[in-house]
Amino acid sequence: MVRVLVVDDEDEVREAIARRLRREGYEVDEAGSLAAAVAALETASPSYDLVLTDMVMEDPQAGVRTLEAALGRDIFTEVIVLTAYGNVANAVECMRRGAFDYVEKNIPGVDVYELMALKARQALERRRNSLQTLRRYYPIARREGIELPSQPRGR
Amino acid sequence: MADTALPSSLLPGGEAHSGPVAALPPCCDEGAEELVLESLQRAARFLCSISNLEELLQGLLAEALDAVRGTRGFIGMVNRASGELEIRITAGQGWETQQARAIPITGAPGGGITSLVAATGQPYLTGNVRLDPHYVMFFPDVRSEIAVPLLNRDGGVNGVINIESEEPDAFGHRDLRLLSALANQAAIAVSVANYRAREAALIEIGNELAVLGSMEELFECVVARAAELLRAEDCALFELVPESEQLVLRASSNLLRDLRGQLSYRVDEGLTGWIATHAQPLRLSDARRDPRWKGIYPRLPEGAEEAYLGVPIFGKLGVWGVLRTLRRRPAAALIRNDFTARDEALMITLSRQVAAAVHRLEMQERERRMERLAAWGEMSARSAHMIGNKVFALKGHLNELEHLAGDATTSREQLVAIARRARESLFRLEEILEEFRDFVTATRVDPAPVELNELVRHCLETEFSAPEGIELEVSLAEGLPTIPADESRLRRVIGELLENAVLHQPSGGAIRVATGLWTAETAARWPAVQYRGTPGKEAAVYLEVADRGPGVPGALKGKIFTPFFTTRSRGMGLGLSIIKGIVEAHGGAVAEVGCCQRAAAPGVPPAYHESDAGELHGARFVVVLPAGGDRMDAGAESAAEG
Repeated sequence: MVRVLVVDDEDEVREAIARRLRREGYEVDEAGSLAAAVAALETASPSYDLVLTDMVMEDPQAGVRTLEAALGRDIFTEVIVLTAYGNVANAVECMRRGAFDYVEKNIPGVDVYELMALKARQALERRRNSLQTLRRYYPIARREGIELPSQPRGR
Repeated sequence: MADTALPSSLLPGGEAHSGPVAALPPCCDEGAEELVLESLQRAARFLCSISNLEELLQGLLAEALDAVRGTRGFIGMVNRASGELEIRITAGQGWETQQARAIPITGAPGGGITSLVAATGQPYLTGNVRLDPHYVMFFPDVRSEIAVPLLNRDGGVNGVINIESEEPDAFGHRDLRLLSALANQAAIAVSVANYRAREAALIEIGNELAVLGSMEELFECVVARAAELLRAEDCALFELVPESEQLVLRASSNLLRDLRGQLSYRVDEGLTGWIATHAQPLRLSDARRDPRWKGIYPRLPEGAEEAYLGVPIFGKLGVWGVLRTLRRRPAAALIRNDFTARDEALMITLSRQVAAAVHRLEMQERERRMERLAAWGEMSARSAHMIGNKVFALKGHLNELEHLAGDATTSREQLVAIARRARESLFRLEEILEEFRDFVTATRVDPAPVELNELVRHCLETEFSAPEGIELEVSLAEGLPTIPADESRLRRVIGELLENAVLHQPSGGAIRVATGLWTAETAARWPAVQYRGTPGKEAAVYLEVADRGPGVPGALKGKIFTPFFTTRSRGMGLGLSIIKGIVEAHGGAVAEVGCCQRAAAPGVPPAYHESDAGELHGARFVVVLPAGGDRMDAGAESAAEG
């Protein structure tokens, strides 16, 4: 089952996002703060496939921190950053550091939840492709004597 | 300067004569010379050591009386506004029975010898008053009289020293010489004393202008001090309003007080207009004779003249306004009452101080505006963020509703539940909007007489119900003055404080609501309440709302009233800043004065706890509101700008 972590300090917002993603059939955990998110990411086993995180919480760097914690745990975890109005620069910084994409929370005339669900599917697709590539690479690496970390769990 | 009073040509004879003395003989008697020197040395010593004018003249007269062996004497000082000589200092016998009197200065025969000396500025000597055409009798025993002028630096007469004797031909040229020399020394001392007084006054004005908090106070201070310093009938300050090209009266020390803000000149009108247009000072002996004179200010009494002195006040962009002052005198008076070049220099100094003070106040106002603007910027960013989030959540609910509606297995309950959530979302959104609106309008107050107690009772009865587990204690002082207040805004203050107290005691507690008169005692008990009014002088009332909750830690006490500070998740954290805005717009003050957690409040002196024993130890908010109507205007003004 796809495992997703939703990080946002506003209960209502977090619940709405989680609810929409559960409709996709994902197993969704929630974190209401940066600390809770970091704790969840570090202890998750297996690691999360996808993380959706708000950009600015109590700490303006909360989005970046969550991203770092997620990739630190599993380099193939996909991260989608949620930004409020006027925070695109921060989101771009996250992309540069390896986020899959960003979604603006308030786009006039757009049902952002459907957009979010779509981006989540695309992100998971990329993760699947990455893992497949890696899996193909493992026997080659073994044969060539290249040392690799333990084989990623397969899906 | 000594030349004017000690001419060197000879007097005929050396014997007593009668009449004005334009020339004095050199002293040929060596013994007499010795006496003169001694007398002068003594006089020089005490004149230098005394700075009080009255004392100085007293000493001078005593020395003069002694030196010429007169029976009695007096010093008359010139009053330029009335054109009279006022007898200020007396010595010798018989004065107890004399009324204080003023002698008109005419210089005409029969007007009195002192009057003549004041008019001519020349010493006068007579050995037989009965034959003297100028003599006027004060005392029947007088035979001889000697009078010398006290001259100022410009050669004008400040006063007259007059000495009399019961002996005929009692005074000779030696006495005249001695008295003139004394008068000259006295003139120097008087001028020094005047300078010291001016200097002290200027320093004082400078200090005052540097701290005054409002333009009105500043203008009032300047005109009052200038009128005092220059012995003027009136001093007024006009501000140039560039848009309308009008000079508007901002302050007047006397004559135009009632016309402040109403009287105005066009910039090309009158003397004041001329000063503004030409950016130059103007000094006139008689304003009415000047063709530029417009005479808008109240008409002069019959037979009076008006000396005029006005200077421009320079701002950053040229002339900012005009400071002008008037002196009056009877037109028939012999003594002039003109402004001098030194008076003009003084006015220029004052005008520069005004300009500096105005500039300082303008900068302060600009700073306040910048702060407000910065708060607005933050306000906009935060509210956009919060509203955006709420709308985002609402969109999520609608997305879910749509999904559920399209799903055949959806139950009616599910639909109702999601609709309810959407509605809650909208309510949150409205709360934010209301907070926003209250923050914006907090400083706009529409005052009317309000009974604070009545308002508190009303709030407690209709808008507030203490939740279970919260004990309510109400203690309202009787006989409080009515306050000018905006009832709906004040109700918001009370409501917010009560709600705050409830929110911080989720598991029950107590709330105390009290009112009372703001006194020196309450001010001392709650020093954190920075109310500007003087307790007892201007009536004020207070409202106290205390609870038994966790209280406000010392470190946060200063922050809780700043916008966006909140420990709650709901709203934007504007609640207490709105209260502060409302209270300050009423000219009042608010503070949190509770001592939370006895042991953990290091900044609070132990005595405070003692006196507070048995009372609630949580948050304690105190609101002070003035009962006088004065401050309301200021509040309304700042609201108009905000």
